[in-house]
Amino acid sequence: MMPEETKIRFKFIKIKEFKYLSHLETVRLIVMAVNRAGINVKYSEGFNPNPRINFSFPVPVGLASMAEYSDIEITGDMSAEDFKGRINQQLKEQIRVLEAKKILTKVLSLMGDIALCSYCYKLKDIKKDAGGKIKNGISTHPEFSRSIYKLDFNEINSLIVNLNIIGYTKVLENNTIFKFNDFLKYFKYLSNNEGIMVKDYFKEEAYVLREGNLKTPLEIV
Amino acid sequence: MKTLSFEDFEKVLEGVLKPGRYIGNEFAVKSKNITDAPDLKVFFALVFPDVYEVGMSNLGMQILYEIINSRDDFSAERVFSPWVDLEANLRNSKTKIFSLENKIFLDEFDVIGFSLQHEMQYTNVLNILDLAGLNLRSENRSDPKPIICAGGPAAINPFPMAPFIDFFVIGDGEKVILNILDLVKQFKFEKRNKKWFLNKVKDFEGVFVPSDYKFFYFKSGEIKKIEPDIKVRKTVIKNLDDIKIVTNPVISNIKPVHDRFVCEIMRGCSRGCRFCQASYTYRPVRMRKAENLISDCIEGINNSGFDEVSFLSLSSSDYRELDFLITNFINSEKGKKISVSLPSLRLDSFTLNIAEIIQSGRKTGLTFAPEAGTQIMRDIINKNIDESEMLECMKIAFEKGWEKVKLYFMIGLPFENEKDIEGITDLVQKIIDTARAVLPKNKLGRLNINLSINAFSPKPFTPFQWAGQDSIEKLHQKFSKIRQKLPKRFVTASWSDPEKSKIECALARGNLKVADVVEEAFKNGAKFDNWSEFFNFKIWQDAFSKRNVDVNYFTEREAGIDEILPWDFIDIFISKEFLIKEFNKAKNIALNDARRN
Repeated sequence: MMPEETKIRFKFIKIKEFKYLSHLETVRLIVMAVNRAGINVKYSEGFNPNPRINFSFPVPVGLASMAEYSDIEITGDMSAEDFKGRINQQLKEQIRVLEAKKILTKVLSLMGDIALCSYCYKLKDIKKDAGGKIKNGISTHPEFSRSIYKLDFNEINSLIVNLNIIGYTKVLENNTIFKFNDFLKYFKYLSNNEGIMVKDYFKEEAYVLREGNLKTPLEIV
Repeated sequence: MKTLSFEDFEKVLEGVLKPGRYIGNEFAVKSKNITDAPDLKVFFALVFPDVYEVGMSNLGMQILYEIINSRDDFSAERVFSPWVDLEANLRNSKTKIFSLENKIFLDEFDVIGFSLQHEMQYTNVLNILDLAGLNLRSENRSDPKPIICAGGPAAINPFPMAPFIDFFVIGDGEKVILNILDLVKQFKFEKRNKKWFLNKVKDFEGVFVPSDYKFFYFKSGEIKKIEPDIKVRKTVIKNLDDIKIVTNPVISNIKPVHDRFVCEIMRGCSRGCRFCQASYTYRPVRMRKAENLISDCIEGINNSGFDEVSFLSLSSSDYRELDFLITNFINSEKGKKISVSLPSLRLDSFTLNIAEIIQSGRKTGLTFAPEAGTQIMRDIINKNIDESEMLECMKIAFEKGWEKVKLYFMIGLPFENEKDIEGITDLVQKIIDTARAVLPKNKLGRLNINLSINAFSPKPFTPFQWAGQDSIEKLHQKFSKIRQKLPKRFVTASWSDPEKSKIECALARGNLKVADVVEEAFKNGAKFDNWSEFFNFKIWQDAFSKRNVDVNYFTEREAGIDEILPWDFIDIFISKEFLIKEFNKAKNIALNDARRN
């Protein structure tokens, strides 16, 4: 028997100039792409029916993201691959679905479930001791010391070093919420002091917590 | 062609409120790759002198964009007014304004075409020229490129903008634009000068080249003569079905002011309301075939992904196949999921049924435009709405469950007197009484009568083109009289700004002297004049006095019937005699009304 509805969770990127779109603007574009793709999205009841598409926590305007998530409810049956293929035909390369999976278990909403996000800074001209200084600066900072779960430097090649930060998006125990825009300002000051060039920065991944482990929202469906 | 690098683009966007306005690259963008044989193409900058969300809602922009880009050898890119935050960044970093698609600096284009929707956009045109690093006045732009043109409803009297624009297109742009661009192509490849181009382009229907014309004035300020005595004929698309509606519009990246698929069902209006410029300038009335429209509309909705369609016209009740169109559209498989809006629907018992069908249980609200408060005043303006019919229609509407009514009125109309002003509040009271009679007490509380009251601004090519406009003081008096007498319960009202109406009137009926004032006002900071937070009356007052131009000559003064008006040499297929006859009809209705004397 055909299922009456399909729930799909998908991951998409929002990069290049499209990082300048706000959350609501992005939602509008995706809903219109879904309509163009002829995907029968379910609507809420009532006088002002809204399409049943839910999104993860808004990414700040101007921050590119490699990992935005969304759940969609569709009437009838549709494979995740079919969904991905159809919607990508209606999207530009700057907003693109990377992966889609059917939701087969009961899941919490993305907004409620996602607890952490990782961010990546691509750094150039980094001096030998600069990494330690930055690590030290952040770990003693009154705010960021409590909002950052993990911070690492990873050498990519002789020129580029990646700074990977995982910050809380939800208050769990004694932590505070990682505010990227505040961090951006603070890091500008830090990197200026150390003469480091920031080549690029973006949101890299979003995570939920399962028994103390970090999982991506697609790993749990 | 010089373009803005992505790095510099990111720099100018720093701190900008809605950067999504400037990124371009929307779905269904149609411009060409500029690295692929740019020398063989003509590049046209389609400029809308207001922000992105407003311009992207304009149908004319989508139509011209589609038509020009349908040719392989032409490329149209869009430019909108930058909001003040981006403008400040552009000026501070000495960066020229650029197009949305390929970020080409505006002065690099072969042709720049401005869409003029209303007079209060004029200063934004000058601001854009300035941001492109171009001289404002045509005579000071010595380079052959870019050629600057303008069209649209606010180009119908071109003189207040004439010194800044190389040529105007009067009328429908769909066909003539391709002829013009073919000529630009020749001009570009044969490396001709601008004089050669303007001399050729003026032969196309609807084209007006200001530098060909000279004005001579009497000492009083009236026009003595305009030379040469050659009329410019408006260009018209005779059969709208020759040009398909735009079925794959550019999907704006941020929510436009009208977030829906637009389907033009008819152009022109046969009603002949004497205050309405569009009613005269868009003639003749031309209707599209409903059968084509239904399939084109469904195609357009599938292509675009909108969940609403707007069937656009100046008076949809007069569209012959309205019932067929609506019934068949909403019963189609696609139509069932799409909401429909019908602007400018004149409500009566028949169209109320249509309103009920399209609002499908939601009953969001009904709009009436009586425009005047008394029957005699409505006769004067030729707005043939009968009060008892209107109230009857509202009665049925209230019975059917509508609770919201929007009403449009104008004040300061020619021959208006106190009774007409009182008539507005009387009419509102009658509507409340009608509602009381049919609505049960528990529902009456939700009754909402929303009034929009605007100051009348006489416009060229209407029977009221000679009429004097009420002074600001008089308009304020009338507004406050209405405010005092307006029932407090159930009613909300919005008012237009009489100061703004005055400037709008002066610009609409202006001659070449007013062009100097526009330039002066721009230099003193006037921009976004249609945005109440930016409109600055003081700047305009100062500009008029600095250029020694009496604003009241263009506003409060009643012009003589035999006077030469600046726009007289433009032929919109309606004779001056006809307009005089219509003006006299209005006058006679007023004179024959005993109460008025």
